[in-house]
Amino acid sequence: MSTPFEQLAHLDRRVHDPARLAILTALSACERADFLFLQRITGLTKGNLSSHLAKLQEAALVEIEKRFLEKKTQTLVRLSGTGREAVEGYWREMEELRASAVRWRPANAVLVPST
Amino acid sequence: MQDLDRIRFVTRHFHELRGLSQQVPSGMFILGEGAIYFVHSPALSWLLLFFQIAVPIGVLLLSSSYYQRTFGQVERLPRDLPLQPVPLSIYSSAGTTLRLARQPVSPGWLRGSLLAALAWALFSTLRAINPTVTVQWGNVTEPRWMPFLLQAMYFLFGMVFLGTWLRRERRLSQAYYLVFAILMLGLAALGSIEGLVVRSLFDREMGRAATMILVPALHDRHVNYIFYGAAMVLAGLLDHLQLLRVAKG
Repeated sequence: MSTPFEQLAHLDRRVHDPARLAILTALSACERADFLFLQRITGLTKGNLSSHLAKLQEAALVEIEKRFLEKKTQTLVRLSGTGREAVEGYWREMEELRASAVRWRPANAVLVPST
Repeated sequence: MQDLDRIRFVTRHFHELRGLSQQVPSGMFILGEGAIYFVHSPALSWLLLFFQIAVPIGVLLLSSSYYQRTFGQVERLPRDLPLQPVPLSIYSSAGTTLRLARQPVSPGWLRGSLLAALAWALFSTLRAINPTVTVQWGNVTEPRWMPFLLQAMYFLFGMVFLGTWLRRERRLSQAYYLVFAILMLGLAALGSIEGLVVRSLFDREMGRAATMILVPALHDRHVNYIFYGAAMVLAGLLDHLQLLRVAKG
């Protein structure tokens, strides 16, 4: 049986980062969203958002499509099947972690009544 | 960084939270329809007509591009769409043929509809067995069906607000829909027993003042329009403010 610390160490780092988790949470609630919306909803700068999206695309968690709309490039982002599974798996692990953290006691802990 | 639950909620309900694109213009139109009856100066009537028709049309036309430019674009999940593509058992060289079909009716929706029907039956029975109030406006006596029609409208509007609150996950941040639903359903319920209320109140000094407020609300369709229009405008503005607060960039 692994301790909460070991479980914490095994969390999916691609998802666990706060900015990436915010992006994936938004994408899990819709079919697809454009770059501007993701920027507004997460509060990230353009550069930061681009860099996180590139990492998520590299990990095949999101699919990115670029198209022209009124002479401007529009970037549409969608959660891939793998991405959806990764987000669901992450929340399952977090639930298990929470439950095991509640149960956890140090191996050599001795309960001393408070004075 | 925003709280994850708020991000999920705003993304999922992005289209409905764009209050300026539907609720505010429709609410302004209905509000104007009610308010114009109480304005007697021609100059004010023209001004009100401008706010009733020209302003909502302007808001309606501009809001779509405003939301697109300011907040970007979100496509809803198929399960959140009122219609979803369903494959037909017909295959062509282009692939599977799809048709749009309504979402299956959920048990919660059925239970809600049944409760609403029961509540309406109760209101109608109460109205039928209680004494009714007939109002004379100047020389005109109102038709007997008018209070019944207005009660039905309050009930319908109340159910619309309640349904919106339930569909939006019964959140505290959306509680204004619940408040408007209680107000409208409360007026519909009061309509069922207004004869008794008016009879018991009218002989007292304070009671007479209360009936002077209560009776027009239950008998004048223009007051009904004002209540519903104002509630729609307020709800739309509050939705818009919530979107602004969460998706502030």
